[in-house]
Amino acid sequence: MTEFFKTLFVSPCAKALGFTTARMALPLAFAALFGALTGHAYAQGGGASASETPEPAPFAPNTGDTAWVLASAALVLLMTPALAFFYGGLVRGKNMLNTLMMSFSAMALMAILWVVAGYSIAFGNNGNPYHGGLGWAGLPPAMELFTDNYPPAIGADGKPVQLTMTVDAQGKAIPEADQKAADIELFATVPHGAFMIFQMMFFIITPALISGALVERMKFVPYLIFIGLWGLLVYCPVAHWVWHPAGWIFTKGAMDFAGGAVVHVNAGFAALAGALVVGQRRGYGSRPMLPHSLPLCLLGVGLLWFGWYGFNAGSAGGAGALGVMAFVNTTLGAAAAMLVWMIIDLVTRKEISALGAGTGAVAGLVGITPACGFVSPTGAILVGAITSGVCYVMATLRARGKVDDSLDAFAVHGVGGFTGALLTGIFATGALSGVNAFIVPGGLSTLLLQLQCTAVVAAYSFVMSYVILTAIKALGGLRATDESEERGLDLSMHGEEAYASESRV
Amino acid sequence: MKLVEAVVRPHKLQDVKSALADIGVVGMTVTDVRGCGRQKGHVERYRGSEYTVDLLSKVKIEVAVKDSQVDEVVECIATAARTGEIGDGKIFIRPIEQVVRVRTGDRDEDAL
Repeated sequence: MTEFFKTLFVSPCAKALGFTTARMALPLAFAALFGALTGHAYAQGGGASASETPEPAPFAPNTGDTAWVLASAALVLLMTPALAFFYGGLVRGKNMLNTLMMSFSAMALMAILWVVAGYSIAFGNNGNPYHGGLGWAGLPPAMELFTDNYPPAIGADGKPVQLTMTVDAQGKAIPEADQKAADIELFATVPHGAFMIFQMMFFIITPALISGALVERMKFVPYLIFIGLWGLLVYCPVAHWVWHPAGWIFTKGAMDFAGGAVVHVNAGFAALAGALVVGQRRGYGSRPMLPHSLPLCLLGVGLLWFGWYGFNAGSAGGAGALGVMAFVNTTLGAAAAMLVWMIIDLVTRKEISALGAGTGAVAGLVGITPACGFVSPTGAILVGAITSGVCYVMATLRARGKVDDSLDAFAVHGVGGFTGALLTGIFATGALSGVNAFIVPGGLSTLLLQLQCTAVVAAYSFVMSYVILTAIKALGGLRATDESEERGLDLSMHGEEAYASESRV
Repeated sequence: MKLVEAVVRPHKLQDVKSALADIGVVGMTVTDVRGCGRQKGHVERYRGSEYTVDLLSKVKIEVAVKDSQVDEVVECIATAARTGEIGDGKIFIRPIEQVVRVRTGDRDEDAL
């Protein structure tokens, strides 16, 4: 969520009071603090208002921020092929291409759907707390998109969204008399198009994450239909709830810095529904189903980690102190989680698994995603370590259970994301974010708020995914035939093989 | 003594293995092979170029058994490997002249 906070501009009055008495939603104080530190976050809107110029100056993007947001968008896009290889290495060789295509096809399909309607449902103004207005279906006019920034967020009443800040940057309650309203802008220092394309990359990778629970048995066209519908009906509304200033979760002040709930909990619970509706792979539990290439898996993990810097640090909306903090925390969360997974492996199984180490790193990255803009580096290490332990237990239980969450999309992304969201409520520190669950009066309420909001996202995603998949199943079926499943989906869905050998022709 | 050579579908290997274990046969040699019989193969397409793949992947399972066991083992493999479709494979049975267990030097039926 804080990705937007940084870019809000505060009324001249609040500015004069030095932010600390500005009236904003809880985490907004964080943005205010960093705005003060970096000195550029409010330069556009705030500066214009302060000098009382009737006509605001034409928008001039901050080139440093824009460069980082564009680079971050590219990094996040790279995570989708990275995920493809992470998942691809984990399946049997006869399903390699199909698994790769489940991720790669999202880059084509979701990008177009984002432009057609997705962006507007998620971030369009003049919507309501549950979805955005449809005014930006087909994108805003090019002049607005590239020469202006994201306009002040507009709510259902047609007025700019104003939020109430009850706690200052140090975590102290602000007396009601001093509370002021703040208008809010998203990514204020970069062109609107940069924000739009950055958010598109999240829309691409999230459905690809779900494929981990569907591999090796699902027909390809129904898969495409599913991720398209899921993107528009599940991802976009949830993104609106959590990230648009008019969204109901944003308004409540729950924290999700880079998408712990929107991306990971959302995809993880959809994966659980998918594993249940699509059913087990043939022979699951009775026949060995070995990963066919752990080297490709680990390559995927490495590239995911690399791309995650765009995902997390890019969510700061600019190249300032907040981005640096998210970058540092991302590294520490992943490292701690990987180390913890290796230690648990060593203690319980007497050997350190390479796949385990990779899975640990991904679990840590998932856990730190909602937290990276709110916690201290020590907090990041704890978030990573705890998330890793929880995911380890979950993945072990999953392997003994009947639900064929084939590549642990639920165990790592659903459970890891949920854990991270709760830990964000616990480890968010007053000095940095204006929120400390244990210091701020009603601190427990922060944790409960995180729990409530994340649980709603999880339930919505699970139910909607279940319904969408059941509908597709009723209309045309989800499963590959037994024969094509046995033969491998590469040949039966795509007519190609991942590892073709000349001597057979 | 006979050598039972079964060429079957790769994904049937697990079924054949467990069926053989059920009748007490645990020793075997398994090889990845390619071959063709009456099955026509399939077409793969790579960016406009078509290739007919007629040598299909199979596994060959070799089991050395006493003469008295041959019928049971053959029946067991055939049942486990059968799908009813073209391409289920074939079983060849050949006489074995001698068998030697390397570790002990045991010969013939003692070495099976």
